[in-house]
Amino acid sequence: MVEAFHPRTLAEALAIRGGQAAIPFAGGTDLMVKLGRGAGALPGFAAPVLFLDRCEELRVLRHHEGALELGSIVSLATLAESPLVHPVLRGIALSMGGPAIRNAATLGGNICNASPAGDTLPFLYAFEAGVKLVSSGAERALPVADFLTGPGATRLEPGEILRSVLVPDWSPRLAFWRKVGTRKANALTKVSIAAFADGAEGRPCKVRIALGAVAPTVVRLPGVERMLEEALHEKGDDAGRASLLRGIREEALAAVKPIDDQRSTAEYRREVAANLVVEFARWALARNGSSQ
Amino acid sequence: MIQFRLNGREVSSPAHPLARLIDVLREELGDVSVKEGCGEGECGACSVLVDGKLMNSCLLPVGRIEGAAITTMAGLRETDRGRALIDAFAREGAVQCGFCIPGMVIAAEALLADKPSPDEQEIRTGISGNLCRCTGYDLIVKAVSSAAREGRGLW
Amino acid sequence: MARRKGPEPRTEQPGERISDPVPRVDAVAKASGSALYLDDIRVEGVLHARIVRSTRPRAKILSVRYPETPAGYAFIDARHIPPGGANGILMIRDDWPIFADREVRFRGQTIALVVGPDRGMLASLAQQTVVEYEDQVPVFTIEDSLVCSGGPIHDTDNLFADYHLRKGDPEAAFRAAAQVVEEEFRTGWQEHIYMEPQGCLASWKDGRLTLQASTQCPYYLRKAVAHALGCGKENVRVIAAHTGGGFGGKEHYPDVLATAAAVASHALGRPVKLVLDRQEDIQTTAKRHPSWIRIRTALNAAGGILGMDIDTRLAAGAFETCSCIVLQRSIFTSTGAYDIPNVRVRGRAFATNVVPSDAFRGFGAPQALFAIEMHMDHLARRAGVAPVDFKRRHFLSKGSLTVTNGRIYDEVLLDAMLERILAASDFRARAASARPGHGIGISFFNHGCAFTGSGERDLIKGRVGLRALADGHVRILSAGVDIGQGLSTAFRKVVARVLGIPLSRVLFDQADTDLVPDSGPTCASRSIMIVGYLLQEAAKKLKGCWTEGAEQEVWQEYSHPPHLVWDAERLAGDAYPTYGWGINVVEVAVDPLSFEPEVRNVWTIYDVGYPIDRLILEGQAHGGMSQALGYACLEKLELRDGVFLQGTMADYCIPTSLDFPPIRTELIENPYPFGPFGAKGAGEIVFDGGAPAFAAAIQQAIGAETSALPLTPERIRALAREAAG
Repeated sequence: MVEAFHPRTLAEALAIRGGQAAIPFAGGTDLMVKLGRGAGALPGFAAPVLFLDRCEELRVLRHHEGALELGSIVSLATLAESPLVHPVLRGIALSMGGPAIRNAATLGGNICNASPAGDTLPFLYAFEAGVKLVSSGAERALPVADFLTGPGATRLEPGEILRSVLVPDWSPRLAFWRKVGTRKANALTKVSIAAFADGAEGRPCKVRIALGAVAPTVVRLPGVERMLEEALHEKGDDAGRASLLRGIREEALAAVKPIDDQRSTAEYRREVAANLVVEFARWALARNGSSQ
Repeated sequence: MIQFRLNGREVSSPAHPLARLIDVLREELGDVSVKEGCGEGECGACSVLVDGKLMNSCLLPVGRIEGAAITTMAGLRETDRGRALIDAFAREGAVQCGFCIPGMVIAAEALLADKPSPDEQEIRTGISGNLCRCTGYDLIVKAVSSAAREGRGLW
Repeated sequence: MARRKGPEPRTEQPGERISDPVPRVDAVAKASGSALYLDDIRVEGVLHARIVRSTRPRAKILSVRYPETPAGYAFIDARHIPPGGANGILMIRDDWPIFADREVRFRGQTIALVVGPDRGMLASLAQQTVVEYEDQVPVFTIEDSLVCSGGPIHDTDNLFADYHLRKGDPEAAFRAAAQVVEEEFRTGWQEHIYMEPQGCLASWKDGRLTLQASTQCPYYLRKAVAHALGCGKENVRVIAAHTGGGFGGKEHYPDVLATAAAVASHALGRPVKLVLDRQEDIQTTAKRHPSWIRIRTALNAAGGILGMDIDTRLAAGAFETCSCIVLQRSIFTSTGAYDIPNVRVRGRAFATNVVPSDAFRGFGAPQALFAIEMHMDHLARRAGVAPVDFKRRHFLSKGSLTVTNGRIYDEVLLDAMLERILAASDFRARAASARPGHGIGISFFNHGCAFTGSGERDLIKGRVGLRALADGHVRILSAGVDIGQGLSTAFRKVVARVLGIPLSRVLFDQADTDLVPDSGPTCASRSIMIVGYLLQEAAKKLKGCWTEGAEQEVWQEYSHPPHLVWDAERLAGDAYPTYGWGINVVEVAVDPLSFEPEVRNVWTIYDVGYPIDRLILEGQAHGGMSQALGYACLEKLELRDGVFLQGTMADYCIPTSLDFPPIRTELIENPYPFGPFGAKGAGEIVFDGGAPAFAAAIQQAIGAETSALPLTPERIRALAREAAG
């Protein structure tokens, strides 16, 4: 039977991770379900387990060099309550699991689980967040969008642990997010969106839109982002707006690659994703030019 | 040996650190007030408090909670808060088959410890990780509300 | 450790009604976590058991190779059935083998048990078992079963039953029709998701088998285990543990586990505990029957109903269980709350290579009621009449002839109930002002109480006892099981009230077949009405001969109301002694972006005769509606290669505390002479009407007709798209 390690420092943890090829274990809310073997049986871990919860270095929550650094073992409950965290990410954290799950589950776990439906991911992609990976010898950073490569797949190397997530400082004027789940609480995601718009008419505009659960990884919509940035910068007319929204819908429909699974259908996901994108665009255009 | 506190008492378990806390509690320590409804962290019947925080014991390896203070219904029922909750649940008709209720009461305790006078929405959110098939939740919400009112000063 | 007692039960004052709520007698023990459910029971020397299951939906078994078993572990299969026993689980028939040995008929079917001390090792040993199969063509749908795809699974035509009903002259009605409207309705599987998974503990010792189980029907278990072991019923003792929910799922299905565990215990001479994990429970235990119902209605030129022709098809799964009875209730409920002249009904239960379907709250009635309610709603719209007004013209009333040519003997208060719920819900104003994306729906329904026809008299023959002890306590002797419906409190209330003693002096232990008579199964909305009445009568008897300080016993046997007439061969006459009645109103909004339905308001009103405890009834109404709304829009089971895709609690979604709003309940009194204090059955009627009321509301919200459940957002989207053209 494999061993379990419970180090008190990051340095210790890294030594074990490298030396034993141990599996990093943050909240365990995904791992224990995946590997569970029923009542009265030990879960089926194939490699030694590395409990990270005692490594306080992984629990940072601070402003640093133009970004919010969130330690990888910060729980979803902590994320949901922290005034330093963007309200959208707080809302997303509150929409995940139930209170007990949120007390155990972590941001780092949600990222490294790399589910196509991972709830924190669209926000992180839209904010162009990065991850800091650390091993005994080195540290490196890469964008989340590069870190996640497919369902269940990341660029985490042997010996590496996800140290923290860096969310660039940005307070977009308009923020829009929605999770369409299998029920109203404790639900898995069928389609999700995190979308932000900044700037105003006559000023530089920045739009970021990310969709979850409609492709193997999160989908950014650069075409729609550019269309909307331009429309927010210029003053448009109603006919132009209607045609723009139609164009945005077409782009969104073409950009997603949803599947049929036990939770939903490709057809549903495709249409609802497009509806959410168009709703964001419509709303952003309507709010343009307002004093807000 | 993994040491932790269970309902205020020091315990020591020879279990493997990856053994599920629910199994250590139920099989080894004889605490069957913790129920297993799903083994996947969905139903909340196995809810316990870990250093006051609500968690699903079916998803916790015992090694992870080394040194922590664990509270189960077997402990909570000996406290004034626990008795107030139990009385409220009984009074308001919130207990039908009862299997989900120990977990619900633990969740209610966690909620009231954080928010002593929750409104209906806060109660529903507080128990949103606890599934019940019998009651449709309405009388459970009423019971928590009733405990909060009757148990003035307890939380 | 002092046991906490909780609030003292009040001594009832004269003038107080029995329906006034009391704290349930078991609430404190359950809330405290001290009530023992099956898996909480610890027995010296117990061995755990795990089922080795078929991985094929339909196949011949060519060989079974078990891995080498370490000391202390054993595989138990058909070879271990004792001589004189039988490899058949005796429910109504024993067609379902305890251990499959020649063939398998559904994925997950039991082939063997592996038994031993460590559950991790059991999982490993089960996984290492190698079974060689010769695959056959599996049948997963009613359509395929109809044509006996791959050869018949059962008999020569895959039919467990083919029933026919005839009221009036349907042929004449259709000949005279100016118009015929034909519609089809479909409903899917539903899983009970009682919060306590199934389990039992069998112990063979000194020539007797003692079984503890999570069960609704201890005497059914006794019968099945005795049949399996061939040991005589007197050598089987069944004790009901506290049961964490049943809903029909623990009516017959426990027989499947108990017989296997009993054979294992008998073979090994050790206690054997078999508890399912949740994923196993979802995949392999009995489900609600999917239905496919076609209704054809003959209309006259004015749009009035001349007659109906109803074809009910249920998917029964691989073995019979009680599908024939579910089918009977379904066809007996096929015209619901309405008096339809000239009706022809055909009902068939089809064999398929899926886990057998069995009892689930409503028992065939929800499927029938969905069909008739939606159909009547659609007929109303075609006639240009508001559904509520169209439907009320056809209400059954006292004296009406039922679809089985029986009579409604008691007052039907649907009109009065309708007035009350219309007022409470402001229905007409809400219906008239509903904007696109908003809707409100109403359903009307009834539920025949207790066993069909002469079942109580000829099959069950329920019997109860009351034992007065010298110290003034009175013990109830009945095999009824409190599965959460409050039976242990309600039974005590009846006896206490009649005897005029405090509730605390009435004792009622969990059923033990060595100690209590067979008062019949805990199902069919019969416990309060039938068994409660027996207790009432027994208590009256006891009161009449009460001797202070003496030990006395009285017994009461079931007596069938003499006015009831039933022909079991022709399925004609009084199918049920009486009916519960209900009306549900559900208001919804459908999200324009995601098509997710939001239930905004629910109103319910029920006639269950008289409530023995108003709070118990309220709790039942809430729970029944929650389960019905889950059935209507959240709970989905899709089959692929004989396996349910939604096989975990994460994917099979039952409602959480945030899914639905508070449920308003109202009761109307309509005492039934053969129920205790006038009480009728209530456990199922609180489920029956939720889905059609919800579906009707969705129809208004999206401007499209619905004819299938569940109405998931995916289905709502598709219907809305179709309607938009």
